[in-house]
Amino acid sequence: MKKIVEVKNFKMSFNGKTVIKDLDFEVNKGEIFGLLGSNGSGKTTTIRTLLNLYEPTGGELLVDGKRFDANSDVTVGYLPEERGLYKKETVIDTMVYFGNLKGLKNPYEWSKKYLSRVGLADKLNEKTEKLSTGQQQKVQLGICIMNNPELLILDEPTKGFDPVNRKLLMNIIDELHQKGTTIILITHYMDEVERLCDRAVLLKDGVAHAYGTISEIKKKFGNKSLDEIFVEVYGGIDE
Amino acid sequence: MSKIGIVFKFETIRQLKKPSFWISLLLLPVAILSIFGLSALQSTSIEDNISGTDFSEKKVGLTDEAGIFSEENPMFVKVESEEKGIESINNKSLDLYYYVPANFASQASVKIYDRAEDTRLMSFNQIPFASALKAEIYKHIDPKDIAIIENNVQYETIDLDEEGKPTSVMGRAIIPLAILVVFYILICVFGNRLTMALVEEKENRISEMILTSISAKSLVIGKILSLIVLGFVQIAVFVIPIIAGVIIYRDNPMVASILSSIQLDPWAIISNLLLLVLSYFLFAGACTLTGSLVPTARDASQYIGIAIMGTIMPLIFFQNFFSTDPNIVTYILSYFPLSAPIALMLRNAVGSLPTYELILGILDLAISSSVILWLTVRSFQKNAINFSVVKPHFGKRKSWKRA
Repeated sequence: MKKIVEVKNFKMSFNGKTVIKDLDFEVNKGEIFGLLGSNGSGKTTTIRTLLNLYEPTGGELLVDGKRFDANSDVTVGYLPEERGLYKKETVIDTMVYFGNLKGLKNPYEWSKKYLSRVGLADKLNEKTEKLSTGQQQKVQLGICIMNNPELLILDEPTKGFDPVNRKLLMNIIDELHQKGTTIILITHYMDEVERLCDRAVLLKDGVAHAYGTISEIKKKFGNKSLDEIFVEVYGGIDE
Repeated sequence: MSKIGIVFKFETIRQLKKPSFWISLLLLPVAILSIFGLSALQSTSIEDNISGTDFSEKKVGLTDEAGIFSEENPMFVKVESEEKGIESINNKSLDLYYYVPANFASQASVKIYDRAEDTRLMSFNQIPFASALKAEIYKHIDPKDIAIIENNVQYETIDLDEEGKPTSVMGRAIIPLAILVVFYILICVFGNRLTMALVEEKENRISEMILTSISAKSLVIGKILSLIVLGFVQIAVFVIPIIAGVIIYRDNPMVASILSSIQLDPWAIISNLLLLVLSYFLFAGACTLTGSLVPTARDASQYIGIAIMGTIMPLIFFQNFFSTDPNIVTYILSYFPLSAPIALMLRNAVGSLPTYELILGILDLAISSSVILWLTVRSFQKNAINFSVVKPHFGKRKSWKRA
């Protein structure tokens, strides 16, 4: 199986405090991979380092065999945990801008179609600051997927979504997966992991506490549900 | 279109759509025109007040204890004493009263009494006495000496250039100095906007998402180029009406006089234009660097004032720049990156910047702006997702905010 992401001996310290001790995992092309852990376990740090927003203290983090940069051949979509939009710009102007940056041939048409699908057709010319948090998240998701990325990284994509919109998002993720997009999913919702992910890694104390297919992880913990495993591993305390 | 081009287009259009851009764009020319207009109105009003005050219709009294007037002046009613003069003002038989004391020759002091009814004209009440005194004195002076006394001697300075041909230092300096004014306007109007260019990426929490689509370098360059072009739009809005006004009113004596005094010095104009472009790049770099280091607009505004202060510091020491024999202050201000733009442009305008120093200055600005732009890119790359901490860093350290 071809690897699209390789994390080898990844170490990360901030001001002398070690966040990631020694992390190794790989993400196969075309799979949905869960990056799991409690708050502060280093999930977002790992992604930011993978995307070259941070320099690692040690080790290698590769996307398609190379250190990632914005001009790399691999198309990447990233929905970060810290997300926002240009508040004073309209929805369509923002999407077209990102579409152009991502090299879309007709970003206007794509954006219009996407906004119709997610129920925001009437918000096309609305300033993004006028949208609700959930509506803004849909726009952000659109921006992430507009270039049919080969690798899509979603950091808590359903946070703040109601069940209807959560289902809509899951459908979109599923569709992208069907088209061959590799997805790294960071989430605290274990039902999403169970339903979507092929494999996952559980971060704890800066190392991979468990890593493998979902069934392998379950087996390791005596076939408990992922929710139960999460509580067992992290002691039920949100750090 | 390249990614820099995409950022340039997006940033330019969104700035043009902002009402604040147009307000700041038009506010400066309107403010300057308003100041000139008010100043002109005020001088007209003062002149009207003076001409509208017909002293021949007023009853003006005089007590000349010093005997400075050789004969009775028909303009004044002779008053016997100061007390009587005051009484006449009080009972309104006089509008104005002058009392010349006996010691006038040593003190040169005259008392003026009037009623405090029209305070606006109080400062003009000395006019009848002053003109009468002048006329009295002129009676005793040889007419050929009057011009000397009145300081009406016309001095004509003829500056000779290196080839011994007549030239005018100030005439040559007008256009290069105007270029300096252009720079000053640019930094005042665009300083804040340039600083905000990168801060808003952080404030809007866009940086993480955008940096997977475009490199920090292309993003920063696109934004700076956009704001530089917008800066020159501002200048065009300011300069074009002035040029149009000069063309339309070229026959006006004042405009014609200014035009006739302008001497074109292509070398000084071209070199100052080059200094202007490099200086704006440097300033734009300094502002965007500030923006890349701080997490919020509020933090940025605290630092940008320092950059502007550094830039305009040479204005405090401007007299140093007129000398062709520079001192240590001149050198420091000419080569310290933030103060160099105004110091170099000012010295170049008045002809006190030798060619080798001009070349050094251009190199200084080019290198400084390149280094600052490089630092900006590096800083933005490293601090783009620093949403909360103000400690800057450019190196290979990770960041301060962790997941």
